Amino acid sequence: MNKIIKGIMNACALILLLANEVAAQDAETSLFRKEGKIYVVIGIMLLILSGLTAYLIHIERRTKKLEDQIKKGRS
Amino acid sequence: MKNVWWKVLAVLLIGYALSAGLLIGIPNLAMNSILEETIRNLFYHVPMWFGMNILMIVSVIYAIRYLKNGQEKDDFASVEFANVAVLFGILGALTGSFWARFTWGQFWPNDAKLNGAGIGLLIYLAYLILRSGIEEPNKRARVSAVYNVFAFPVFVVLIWILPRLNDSLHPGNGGNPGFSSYDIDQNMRMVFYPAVAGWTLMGVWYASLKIRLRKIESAENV
Repeated sequence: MNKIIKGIMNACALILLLANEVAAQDAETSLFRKEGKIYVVIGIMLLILSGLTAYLIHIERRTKKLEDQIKKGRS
Repeated sequence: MKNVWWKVLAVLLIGYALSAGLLIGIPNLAMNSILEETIRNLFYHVPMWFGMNILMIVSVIYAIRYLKNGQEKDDFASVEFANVAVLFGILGALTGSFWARFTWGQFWPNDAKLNGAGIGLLIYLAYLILRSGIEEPNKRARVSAVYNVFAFPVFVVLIWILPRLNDSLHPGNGGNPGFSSYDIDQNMRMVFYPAVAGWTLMGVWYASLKIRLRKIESAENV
């Protein structure tokens, strides 16, 4: 349980950090407006990667469910 | 939820390689050659081939294990690792072809490495077709395991050895130095090797899922 709370806290901190970045209008202080906005591209690539990963995890869960059903059917 | 660490590692390594691959500085030498910014494809295109090779080695090991023990699960592992390896190979060929168009000028220049890789992929496709052509499971597993053991060395010769004996456009072949000639390297290696490790682990993840699905299918058939 502690682990879950910790994870949620970390996620919140990350979102706050991100919001701060997006809100900052100053080119010098905002990560996403520096370096010709290349970090925006990286953000999008990482979003796609996490989407694909989430889908993979989804398939894995399905597989696990099927495996459990078969095990149950045997015993 | 045990044994998830390597899946997390795979995603983190790929995430790192995708980002750092765009961010790190590239050597001036590359900017002044036909490569320019495309040298960054080292972090995206090349890991496909390296990953494919590692996955093929795993496939051969399982094929040998099957020949020793005759256990169905080794056959499943062997074929699914080969499947993912072929997927990586096709992605490598497509990305390489695209890259070649804008550096060497053609989608498929007549090059020892490209043709070797093309033939090699056909050998592996033949392996997959051979499997689908044999009905009896034990026979299928045995024949394809033997084929696998022979196909792998041929593949290695086709893409690693013959291109080095001939002239090739690819770096590191036919007296053509590898990317190490573009000085930097230490920096680029710090992205390239994690990329290879990450994509390989991702390939293992794909294969492991398909192996489990095969086991489920075979359990239902019994």
